Amino acid sequence: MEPDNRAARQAPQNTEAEASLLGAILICAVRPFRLALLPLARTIAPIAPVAWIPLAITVVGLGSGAAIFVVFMGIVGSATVAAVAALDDVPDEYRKVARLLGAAGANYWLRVIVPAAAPALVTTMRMSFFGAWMAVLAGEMAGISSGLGALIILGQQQFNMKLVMSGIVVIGLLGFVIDQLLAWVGRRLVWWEGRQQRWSTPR
Amino acid sequence: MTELQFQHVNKAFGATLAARDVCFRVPSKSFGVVIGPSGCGKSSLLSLAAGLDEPSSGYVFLGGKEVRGIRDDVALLFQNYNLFPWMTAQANVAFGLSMRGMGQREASAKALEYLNDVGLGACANKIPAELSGGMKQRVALARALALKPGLLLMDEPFAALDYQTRKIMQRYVLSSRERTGATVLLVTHDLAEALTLADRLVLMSGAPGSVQEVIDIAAPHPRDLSHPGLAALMRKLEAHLEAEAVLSEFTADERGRMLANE
Repeated sequence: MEPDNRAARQAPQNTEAEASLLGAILICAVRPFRLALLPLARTIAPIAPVAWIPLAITVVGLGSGAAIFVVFMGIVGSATVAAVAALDDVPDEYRKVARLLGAAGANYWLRVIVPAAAPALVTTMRMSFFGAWMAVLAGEMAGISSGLGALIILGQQQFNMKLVMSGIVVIGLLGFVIDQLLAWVGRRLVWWEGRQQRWSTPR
Repeated sequence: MTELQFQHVNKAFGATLAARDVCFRVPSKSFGVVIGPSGCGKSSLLSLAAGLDEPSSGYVFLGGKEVRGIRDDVALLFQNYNLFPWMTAQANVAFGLSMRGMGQREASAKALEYLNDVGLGACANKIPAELSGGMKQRVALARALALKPGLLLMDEPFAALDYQTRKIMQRYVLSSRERTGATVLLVTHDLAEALTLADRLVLMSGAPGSVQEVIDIAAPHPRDLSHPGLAALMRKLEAHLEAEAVLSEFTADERGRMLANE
C-alpha cells in the first residue's frame, strides 16, 4: 500500500481547473475555438472517469501518473462546459460597460468577465473537486494500486469491514475538509459577496 | 463640437422593426431628451449613438463623423448603474481611466477627485452593495464624467431613485453639463424630468418607434414647471402618451389602418 498520492490528488485538481478556465476563456473569446473545442468538451464530459483507466494504464503505466490522467480526463470536459456556461452568463450590461470604458483583450477578460463569472466559477471548482475525488478513488479501486480506494478493495478482499469502513470514513472526512478549504478559498476569491451579505443581512 | 445627428435611421431586430426613419439632431453642448412609450426604441437609439450597435439602415453622426463602433469620447449611464460589484467605488471610477492609458496611481487619484465632486469621497472604499441607489448612480456618473465625454448618453438613469434623490441628481447632471460642455442625450419616461432638463425634446411614438415631433425648450434653468408655457407642453406630452397607451392595445397593422384613416 502506498499512501503516496496526496500530491497527485491535488495536482490534477489544480491542473484541470486551470486547463478548464483557460479553455473556457478561449472558447468564449475566439469563435474558431468555440466551434472546435466546445463540442469536444461536451463529448468528453459524459464519459465516466473509470472508462479512462485502461487507457491511463496503457499510456502512463500504473501509479500517480495514471491517477492524474484519469482525473484530468474525467473532469476537464464537464468543468470546461460549466466554466463556459458561467462566462456566457455574464450579464450583457457588464460587457457593454467594459467595452465603453475601453477594456479590451486580457483586461476585458481578466478584469471584467472572469470576476463577473467568479461566483459561478468557484462553484464549478468545488463541484469539480467532488468529481475529481470520486474519479481518483474509483481509479484506485479499479486498478491503480495505491491510496484509499485500493485500501477499501484490500479490506474487501480480506473480508475486513473495519478497514472498508475506515477507508470510507476517511474518504468522506478528507473530502469534507478539502471542500471546506475550497469554500474558504472561494470566499477569498469572491470577497465582495461576503461584504454584500453582511450589508444586506438585517442586524 | 459634438453634435449628435440621426439621419433616416431604421433599426430592426430580426423581423421586428424597433425604430423607423428616425431623424433628429442634438446640437453640440445641448441637452436632448427622448421621450416616448415603452418599446418605442429609445434605448436602441442610445446603443446606436454609443456605437454598441449599428443601424439596419441610415446613419448616426457624432461631431460630423459617422459612428462606427465605440468611441473614446462617449459615455453611457444606465438605469441600473452597472457598477462592477467586485470593485470599490474608487476602483470603478478609476477603471475607465486606466483602460485609457492612465497609470494606476494617477487614475486612482483622479477617481477620488471625481468622487469628491459627487460628494462621495468618504465612500471611496465601499463596494456598490454598500451604497444606496442614489450613491451608486452618483458613482456611475463620476465614472462617466471622469472620461471627459463629448457625448453623455443616459438611459433612464434616475428611474429607480426616490423623488428627492432624483431632483438632486438632475441638478447635478445639469451643473456637470454646464461645467464640462458635454452634449447630453437622455432617455426617460418621466415627463417632469424631460421638461426640467431638455433643451431639445424628441417626442416618439411606439411600435415601431418613430419621431413624432422635435420641440425646442428655451426656458432657462432652474425651471418652474408651473410656468404657463411649460404647463401647456406638459399637457400636450401627457395627451400624446395617453394616446400612445390606447394605440399600444392594437397590433401594428391595426395601428397602420387607423392612422391611414385619419
